[in-house]
Amino acid sequence: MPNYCKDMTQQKETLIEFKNVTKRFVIKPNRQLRSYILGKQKKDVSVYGARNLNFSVKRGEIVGLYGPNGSGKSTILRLAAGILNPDMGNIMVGGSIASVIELGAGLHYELTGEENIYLYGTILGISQRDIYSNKEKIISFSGIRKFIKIPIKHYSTGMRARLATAIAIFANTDILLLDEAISVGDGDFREKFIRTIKSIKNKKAILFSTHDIGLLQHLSDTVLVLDHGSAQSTDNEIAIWRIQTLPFGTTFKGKVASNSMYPTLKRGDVVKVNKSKFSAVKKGDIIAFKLGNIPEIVMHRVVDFYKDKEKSYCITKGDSSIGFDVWKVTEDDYLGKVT
Amino acid sequence: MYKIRKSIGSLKLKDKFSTALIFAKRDIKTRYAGSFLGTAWIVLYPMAMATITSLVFSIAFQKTIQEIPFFIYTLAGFACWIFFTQSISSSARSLVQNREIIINNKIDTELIIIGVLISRSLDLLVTTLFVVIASLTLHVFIFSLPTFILSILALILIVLILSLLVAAGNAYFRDVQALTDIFLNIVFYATPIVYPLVAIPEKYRGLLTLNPLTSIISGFRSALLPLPTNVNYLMIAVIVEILLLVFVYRLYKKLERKFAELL
Repeated sequence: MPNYCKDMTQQKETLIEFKNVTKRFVIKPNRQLRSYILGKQKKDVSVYGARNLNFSVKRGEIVGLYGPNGSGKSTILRLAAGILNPDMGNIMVGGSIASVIELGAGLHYELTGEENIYLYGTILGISQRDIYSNKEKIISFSGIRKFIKIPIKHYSTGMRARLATAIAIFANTDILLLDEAISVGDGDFREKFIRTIKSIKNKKAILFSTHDIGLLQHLSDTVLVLDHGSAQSTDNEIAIWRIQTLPFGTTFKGKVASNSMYPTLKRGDVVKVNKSKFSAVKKGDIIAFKLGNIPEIVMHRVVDFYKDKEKSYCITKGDSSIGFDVWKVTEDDYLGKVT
Repeated sequence: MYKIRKSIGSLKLKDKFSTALIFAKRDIKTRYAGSFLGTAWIVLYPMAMATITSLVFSIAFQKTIQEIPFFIYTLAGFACWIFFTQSISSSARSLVQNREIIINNKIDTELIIIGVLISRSLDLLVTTLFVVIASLTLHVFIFSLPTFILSILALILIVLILSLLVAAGNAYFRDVQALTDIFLNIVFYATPIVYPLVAIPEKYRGLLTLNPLTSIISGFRSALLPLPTNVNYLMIAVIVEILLLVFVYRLYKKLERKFAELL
């Protein structure tokens, strides 16, 4: 790698930095001239989009935002993009930005795919020449070559989303902001997305939000778990912490939240989990574990074991088996055996 | 506080212009998208508008202007008026219509408005050519380049100033777009477009000349038609407008910071 040294120095460069950032939204139900003249009739509601937030993203780093709806993921991305201004604190941004906050916002339905590449590229702040030189990559990544001369009103939602994502990914910017990354893409696109993001990772600082825990695990170096605008511990985190401190041999109950183990376990089933030693786990067992620093508990079937220098791992998989549903679990993440 | 290190992130002037141009292209392409006549409407629409109204009003005020056919007089007025009213009225709505773009991307929102003006100035070009052709066929055509440039410049500047104001205002209060239409309706009757200035009683004439559009439109007319004009007045108008634009642009940039939350 001839660029090795350069990459090493670049990796230290902080491109996004949030310092004590707070953003409060005051929702005014009476935003009309009338209410200004006659006085307010309804009370204002205020919501925290970000509360005393501190984090930074360096070049070559991917930070994932995770949290329930309304937890402030999009607000943070909008703040980072400079679309919103913080009420308090400082945001420092050290490079050019491409952002896809709302998939397809900025695409125009009456224009063709090709015209939209130029339009959307321009909105993202990319020069015409750069758009032209990246057009080929965008078209092949989004996989819409056949339809490129057709107005995008005839596209499917997924096609539009792929086009918008492709334009942002291939923009020659230092920072990439993606909201609800690949929420509408299919399995193939997801795989392609992960591969491409990893290939451009070294050149950029990437901040993205998703509900897809698998994507967070596969892509992000750091995960920021959000709860009403602040990066605090959530109920799940507390629950996991409590489970981890339970003595061996105790049993706890858990509710299945997804259908990834269908038909063995269905969504809504309540299962008992026995806290036991990691060394006692056998092939074919269903185990409960957490995903690094993401506060979610996953229950999957163990399909294999392997060891490297320091630790032993088990490989798990969901019974229903869709796409990237394979996990590597260490003793640290292991919570218990499902009985 | 939001800080950008170095000057990255802000586009160069050339890129800004090409962004506005792309918005203009989009505006033109989508304005008549899906219609049977398509791009022919770019020529047909302003021509039809100008012709119909000019014909109607030229019957009413036939005898007041002796030098030139009243039809041409109104047509020239209409060329400016269509540009003026449509630019301002579409600008008022432009930010709300482009809400998705503004709340999801960091862009200079004034480029959307400038895009609207560029796309509408195509109408101005078409109607102006129409005036030239009509006056050539009726043998009343003259051409004064300085007056023409000054009047067009004065027209574009006043449209830009008012567009920025109403667009920003409309982001804060949606009432502004309705008020804008009412305001434009008043301006239409307070400007000698469909009637000659001499048709107004003497004591009100001074009031009408206070309206900057009066002298801009009469300047435009006198650049293409054998009518008297006051070039100095146009020059003063341009200078005042430039100063006003600097002030309005700064105000707009201040108001712009809240757009993403308000839209």
